[in-house]
Amino acid sequence: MTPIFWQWVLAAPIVLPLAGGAIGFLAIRRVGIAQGATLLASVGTLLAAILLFGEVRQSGALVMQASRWDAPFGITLVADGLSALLVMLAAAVGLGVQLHAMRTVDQEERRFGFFPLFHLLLAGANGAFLTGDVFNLYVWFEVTLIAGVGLLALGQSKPQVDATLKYVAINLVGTTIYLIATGLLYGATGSLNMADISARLLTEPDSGTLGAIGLLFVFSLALKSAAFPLFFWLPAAYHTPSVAVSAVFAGIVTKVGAYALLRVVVLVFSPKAEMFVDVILWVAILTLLVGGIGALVQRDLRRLLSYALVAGIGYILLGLGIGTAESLGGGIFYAAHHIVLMTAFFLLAGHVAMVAGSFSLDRMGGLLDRQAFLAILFFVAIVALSGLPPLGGFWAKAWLVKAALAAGSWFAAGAALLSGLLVLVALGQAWAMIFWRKAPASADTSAALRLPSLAPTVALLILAIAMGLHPEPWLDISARAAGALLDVEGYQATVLGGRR
Amino acid sequence: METLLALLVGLLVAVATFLILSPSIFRLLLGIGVLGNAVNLMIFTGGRLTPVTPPIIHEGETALIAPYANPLPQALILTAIVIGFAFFAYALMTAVRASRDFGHLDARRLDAAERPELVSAEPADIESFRARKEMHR
Repeated sequence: MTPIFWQWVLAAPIVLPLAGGAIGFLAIRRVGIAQGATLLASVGTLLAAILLFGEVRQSGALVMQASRWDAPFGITLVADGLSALLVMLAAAVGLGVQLHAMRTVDQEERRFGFFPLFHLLLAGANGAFLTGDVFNLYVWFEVTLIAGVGLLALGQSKPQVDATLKYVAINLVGTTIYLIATGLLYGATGSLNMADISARLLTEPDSGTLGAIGLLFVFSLALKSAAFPLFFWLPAAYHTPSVAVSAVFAGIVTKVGAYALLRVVVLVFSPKAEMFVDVILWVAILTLLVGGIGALVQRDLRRLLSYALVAGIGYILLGLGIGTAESLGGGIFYAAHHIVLMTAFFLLAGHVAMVAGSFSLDRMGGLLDRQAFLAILFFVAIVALSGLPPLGGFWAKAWLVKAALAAGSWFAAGAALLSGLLVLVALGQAWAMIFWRKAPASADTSAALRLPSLAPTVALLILAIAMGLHPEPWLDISARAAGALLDVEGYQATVLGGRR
Repeated sequence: METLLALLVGLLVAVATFLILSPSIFRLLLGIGVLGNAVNLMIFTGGRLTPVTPPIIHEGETALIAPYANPLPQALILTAIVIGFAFFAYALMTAVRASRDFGHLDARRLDAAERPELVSAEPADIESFRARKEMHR
């Protein structure tokens, strides 16, 4: 049994943001208190997440049985290598966005509860990363979603109302389908605990019922993670809210869906995973290509990044679709790098838009003379995202392509390389339009860059660069996370104890 | 009884699918509401319907004595009802706001987030946010 101290550390990434958010809601008219409480919660979450990660790395997965209702009867929280890694990065990114938001989010959004909602979202995401129960996962999805739609609508502009309506509708349908799958799985196996279900499925014969339930899971989680052909809601929404919200959506919220897909297919359906892997492979390949092609034709910087984000989801799913331990490791490394980099990139886009006066590529230009530093940051981010050596995207893609070739999947390897090229072309074109060409007459270039508000973006970017320049520890961490994910029997033993 | 309920769930899901595919946002939201209820019934049925005693531990006993009704589906459904209710309220309010802002609830004509003149002048800081508000209200 996990010692009580570590049980609290395990629950802290959920409890602290919830507490910070609750205090923030109670003091909703006192913005200073809300900000202070949530900042403390952010720092505390990061510390707890680092501690948790260190402990999991040293002595294996930690388990907490809520209220000491032993698995499979109660709600179980589990931190294995993958969960701990994602929670740690989400906490780092959460702190970065918190600091950014404290300098940039406008007063009206603060008064309407930006910081409490933001922390509710972080609590939901961490809950989804840490839970060991399929129904509990549904609850965390909904926590993330309700906080997310609140944040999405905060500015109340017309595009935001439109985006929120579509986002709510499609995601509600998605989570309801997830709930249908959960209910059917409960009916078929009699359990909701992930470890318990996977153990029970070992003795079940392959059947159409299980296949249908599994595909419902894959469908709803692919929708949540914005995979082809269910991704249209993402670029329709992510460019409308304030930059901090786009950034946290891009960095964390999309990874919740991708993580859940990994967890459900590899762990819950471990004896039957073969049934879905091929579907996921083709979904991943099409996601890669459509994301890259979509990015090419965007005229709005954040929409362009949204399509690049969709392509990134393709890489993560590719790791699952190829279906070997190596490819899973590559996908996990890509996800880890992507969390940090995509958040930094969206924040950076906000800074660029602030000095350019617009997110429209057509109205930007000539920033190289005035903002050489931004141009360098943007360029580095492009290199890292599109997978050029020596930065992070390259190592993850090299790993994935190698795994694809080893598995004989030439098509997957080709799609991974082509998608990287498309994203590079799209972003390179954007860089040339924003920084290189002459400023169009309509450009509003009066705003100046405020250096203190740039600091969190730079810090996150440095973290992403460091992951690329010194990849060995991260490659090792990702390989171990993939190992922990694939070690279904070890997971079952940890969660269920000696009782099965 | 299970067969009957299964058929009812199927009917509700069919109705919900029909409504969700409608271009009217209002019907879409009704469809999501119906779908939520269908799922609740489905979980209830999935937990098995048994004509046995309620799951209560009587005085002097330390554990439930079989046969007893499955208490878990109720907990699941209660959770799902609460969540579904909150979301339905939120979605309805968003729809009310949208119908005020746009004057209609036709999904085919909801494109405010797709129009560059509305979108690209998005807030990056406080000043531009204020300017944008004056522009769009």
